[in-house]
Amino acid sequence: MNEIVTTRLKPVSANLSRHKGVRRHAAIFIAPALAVYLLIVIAPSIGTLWISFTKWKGIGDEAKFVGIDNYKQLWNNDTFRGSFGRTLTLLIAGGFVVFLFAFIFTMLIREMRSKKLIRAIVFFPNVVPPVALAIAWGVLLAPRNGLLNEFLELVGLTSQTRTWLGPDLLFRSIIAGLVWIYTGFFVTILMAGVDRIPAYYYEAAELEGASARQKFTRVTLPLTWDVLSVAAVLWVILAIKTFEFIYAFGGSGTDPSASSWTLPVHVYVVALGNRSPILALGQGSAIAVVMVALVGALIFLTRRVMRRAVVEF
Amino acid sequence: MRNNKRKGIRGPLWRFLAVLLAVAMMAAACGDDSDTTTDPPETTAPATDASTGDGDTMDDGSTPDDGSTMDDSSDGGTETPAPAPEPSTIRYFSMWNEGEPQQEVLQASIDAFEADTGHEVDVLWGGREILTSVRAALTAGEAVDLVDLDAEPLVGALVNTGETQSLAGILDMTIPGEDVTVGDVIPSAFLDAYAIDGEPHLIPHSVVSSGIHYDGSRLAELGIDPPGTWDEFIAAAVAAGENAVQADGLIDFYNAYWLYWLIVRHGGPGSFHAAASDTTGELWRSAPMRRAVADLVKLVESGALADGYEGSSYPLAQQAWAAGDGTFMVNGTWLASETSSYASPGFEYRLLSFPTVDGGTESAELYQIGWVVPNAAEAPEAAQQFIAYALGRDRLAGIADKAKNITPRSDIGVPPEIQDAADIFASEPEVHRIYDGVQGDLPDYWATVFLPLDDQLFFGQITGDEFIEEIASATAEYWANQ
Repeated sequence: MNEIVTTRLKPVSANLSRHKGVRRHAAIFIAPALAVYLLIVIAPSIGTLWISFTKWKGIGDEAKFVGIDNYKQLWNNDTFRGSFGRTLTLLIAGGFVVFLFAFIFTMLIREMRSKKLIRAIVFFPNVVPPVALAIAWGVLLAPRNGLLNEFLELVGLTSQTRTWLGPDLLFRSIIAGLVWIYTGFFVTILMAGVDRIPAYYYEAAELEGASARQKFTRVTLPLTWDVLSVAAVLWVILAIKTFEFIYAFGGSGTDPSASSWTLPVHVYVVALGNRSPILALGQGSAIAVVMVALVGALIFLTRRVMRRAVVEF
Repeated sequence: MRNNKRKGIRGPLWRFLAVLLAVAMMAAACGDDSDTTTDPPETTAPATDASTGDGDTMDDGSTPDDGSTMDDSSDGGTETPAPAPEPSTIRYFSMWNEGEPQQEVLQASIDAFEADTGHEVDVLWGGREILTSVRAALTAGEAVDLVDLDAEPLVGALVNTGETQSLAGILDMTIPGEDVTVGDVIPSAFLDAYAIDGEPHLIPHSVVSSGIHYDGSRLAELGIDPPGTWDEFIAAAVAAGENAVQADGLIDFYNAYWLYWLIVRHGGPGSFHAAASDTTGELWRSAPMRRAVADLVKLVESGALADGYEGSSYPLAQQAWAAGDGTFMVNGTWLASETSSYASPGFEYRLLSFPTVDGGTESAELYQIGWVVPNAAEAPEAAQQFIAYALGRDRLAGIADKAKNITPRSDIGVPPEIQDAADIFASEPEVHRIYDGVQGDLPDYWATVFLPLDDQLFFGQITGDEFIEEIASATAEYWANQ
């Protein structure tokens, strides 16, 4: 403690030279991690960008440079447009529902006595492998003998039974499953922000006669805005990269049909595939590059939209 | 202040980054160099037996593991390459999982082969996604001596890309313990299916097919005769009552059985492949295609398909079918072994040849599971030896007895569950590849053009005419983009 104080009081020049030493040492310590990062993240990323300008089936095939042909083909490709549209639907519609539920749960749990336990319960789906959850959802939503339809019949709502995994509802069912998984994750993040808010703000608000909605808009929201903005960025990334749950949703252990592809599933199928690999590595890489660009642009936008002066408390 | 600090840190960091990048590039360059530097010695000297001492690793038949042979060869000589050392380890990539009947049969062959020949077989039981492991091994430059998988994915991923060896040499090999050659026991029609320039690249150990499965005793109870034509089939399905035709609609390539079979019946073997390969897409508008599509629409509109078939996830429908909920199901001949544990008491597995159509063609679907030897094999001769060995009558019989599949050898009996399939092979005048070869040869077209539209047609989301228009234009567009 004392040392910190004395350091601060040292003349500026001494301070700088000391920092220089620290910096040199820091660089040495950072170097191994940086080297690994360069090798396994940056280099493959540059490689992917390069492959996206070629037609290449992988080893044994000579890569042919085709310029931006792969990107032009994506533009005209109905299957890609479908995957792109579903990714955006998941991001926007799914995101709206996830955050709506996350806030409702957060406000409810905040006032509960056993909130740690409840928080653990809503977080639970994040601990289970998504593939197992996807298969469970398949059984839950099966058209005949599925738990949901059986339940609806049991309570006399036979008219509400649906072919949940049929072409019209399949992707909506997938979004419902993802909302169920990720709501707990965002409740946990938002709760961390809400827990920091001193209880006396809420007490004061109550004394002033504030309603639950007012407490949320006047106290919770402004004081957790920074947490919320981080959560929004995390959702952008999660929504765009989610793969296993969607891939396994049909429960088949084979590539899902194109009507449920999002961008990462599309990349997997055209680049690697399962039993009948397509091995269009150029096109797969082009989609991957589009995904990265999309994530980047959306994160930039999200940060812009959510930029506010941080409320100190 | 913050800016200054940033700048200060940036300097050394950027320097480090630059140095690291340089080091990485040098390392990469060295990697390349090291390959090229080994070339000259190779051209200067064979590992002759004159180079004693260090060189004798080459002579004792073991694989050199220290690279010393490369250095030895630098002491001068002619350009003749060194004779390949006798390989001792076969790296075998298989589609089966441990515990599956086929795996047990193949493992028994491997054990006996190792004991009889002294070769070692290093096998990876990788499941149906084995090509992912094969691809990774090939990319890493590792040896892949033998791959065992169903033919169409193998053809798409390895054979058509020119990465496999001709296996013509195997045909003359005598099967150990017998006085016949491989060529004597494997019908040429099987070998021709995946031949390149007349030379086989895939040797099958199992033969499968597809058709319409039904429970013989149930059909008899219902008083329905096994249908022979498409119209009879639809009439039988309608008469069979609720959920007559079961389908796991979430598996698009199972849905595709219907249209592909109807096209092959109406247009003959090769017609589906030709339409998919037609760069103008116009073949899709031809009369046989329109008739096939109209026939499928008849089935969809008949109401015979099980409730909610479009949203049934595998394997729920086939389990329900085996348990007695439903009458017919189109699938591969493996359906019997996949569903036997769910089958209702007295279930009698029967298979209909896919119904015929007026003025159409008849042929049987031939789907093979077998071996290829990649070019990247380091022990190709031992791998071929193993194939000949595993095709031995007693060893291959397990494929029929235990795995309930047809073997390519006609002197091995057929399990009763799939006797119908064997009869179909015997009676049909010709054979065609599963999905008429479209899945294997045009996997991209198959997955991104055909299957999505076929699903829409099979689920009744679009009409037959809409399907024809959309697939004709999507096919032309697909080829314009190639």
